[in-house]
Amino acid sequence: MKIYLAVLKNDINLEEFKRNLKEKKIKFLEHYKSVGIVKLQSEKKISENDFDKFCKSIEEDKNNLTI
Amino acid sequence: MEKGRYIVLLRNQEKKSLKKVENELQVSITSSEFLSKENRSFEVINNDNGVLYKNLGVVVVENMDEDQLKKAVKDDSNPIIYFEKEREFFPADEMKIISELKKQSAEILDKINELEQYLNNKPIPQKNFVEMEWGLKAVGIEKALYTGKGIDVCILDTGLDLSHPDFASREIEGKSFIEGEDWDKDPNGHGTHCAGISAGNLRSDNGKRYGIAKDCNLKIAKVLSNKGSGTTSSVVDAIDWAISKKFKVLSLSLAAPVQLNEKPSVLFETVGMRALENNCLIIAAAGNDSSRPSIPKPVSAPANSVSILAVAAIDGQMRVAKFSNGGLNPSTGGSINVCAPGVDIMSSYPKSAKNKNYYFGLSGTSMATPHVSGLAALYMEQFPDKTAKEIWEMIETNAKPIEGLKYRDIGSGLIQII
Repeated sequence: MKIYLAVLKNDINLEEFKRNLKEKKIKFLEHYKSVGIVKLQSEKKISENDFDKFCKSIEEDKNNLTI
Repeated sequence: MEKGRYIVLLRNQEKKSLKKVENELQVSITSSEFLSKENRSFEVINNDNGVLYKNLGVVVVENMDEDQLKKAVKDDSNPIIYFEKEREFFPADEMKIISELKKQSAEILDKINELEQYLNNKPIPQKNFVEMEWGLKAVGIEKALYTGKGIDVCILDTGLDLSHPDFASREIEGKSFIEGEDWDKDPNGHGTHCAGISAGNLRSDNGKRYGIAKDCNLKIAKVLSNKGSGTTSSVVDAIDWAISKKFKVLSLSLAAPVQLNEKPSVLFETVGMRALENNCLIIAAAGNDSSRPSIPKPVSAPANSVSILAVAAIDGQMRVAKFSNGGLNPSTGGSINVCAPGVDIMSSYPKSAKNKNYYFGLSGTSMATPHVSGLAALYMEQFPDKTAKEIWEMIETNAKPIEGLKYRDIGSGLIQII
């Protein structure tokens, strides 16, 4: 299972997006409202092309930030 | 009953009036026109008579009863309307005047000496004698009139050692975004060090000042593990929390290296932009991947996003720190905005078996970043009506270029207190 962070487009139908995610068996984990980003979990690799209608970008969460 | 020589002012000089005065005062009045060498005024007056000075309407009389004169003045039908006792006038003695002036000036001199002594012995505010770390001197902290009071500064790092004497008594809010690790403990020490640079004050051991915005409201977001690493999602989560809490300055002494010509992440670009829209300034370290002068490396993520203020590091000799990343990807973003002290920086640190003291020296763009965060807090206190974006612009506008150093490496220059 991998974690993804998606930047939402403005004025999308969030419920419709969630239904889309469910259909593709992608788990909606968190909505960071003040920055317009959602956290998703999926077994399969996902990209912004899969959700072009809803997302500006989708990036895989990385554990690469260091001091 | 007081007697003496008096000056008496008459209402008029009619014969009837003069006669009345002569009767009442029992004197013979001689008009001044009849005075001569043989009949001088003082001789007339000394003989208990009076002299009338016609031009003045005044009679001078000797040996008068003052009570009688008082009654006469009160009586409206009496021609006497005013009187006063003759005064004595002495010729001015120049030496006496000089002597008097000398006496007065001596008194003034005494006052001046007293004031001088007071000023010399007056306690001088402690801040003038406080020694400072070199980084604080370099940014001109001695000129600072502000302390970041009321400004929420959030350090996104490895946490904070809340038992540290410099923070134990302060009211500090925090949250951990690392599972199983608390925000108020910092075995790593990096977060405590960064928090000290931004929000510390004076060292408890030697009194030396090491922090910039001592009165800011310090907030802690633990986004890096005790080992010093973290995920993008933890950082995004923490930034979302900080923005929702309306924190004004977010200090990110963390970085992930990027390749030459690698585009900045849309994710962090958006996060930085949304933060600015919410009047929140994100400041991030440029990264420490370079081996200067031969191998400079590009600004790391998330500092390479144009909506996040990127900070490079310089040393005490005003040289770019050898590890400090530079603006090698200007076409895609990733420029340096400013530089700040980042070599041999002393700040708060957890006491441990390894570190016997509560303070420690570290180097890195991680240390440069909280200098800028502290400065931003000072600016925000000073200019409460400015937006986060305007504060960013002010930080760059007031930064000082360093002779011989390139914009690529230090951006607008060394940050400065205004």
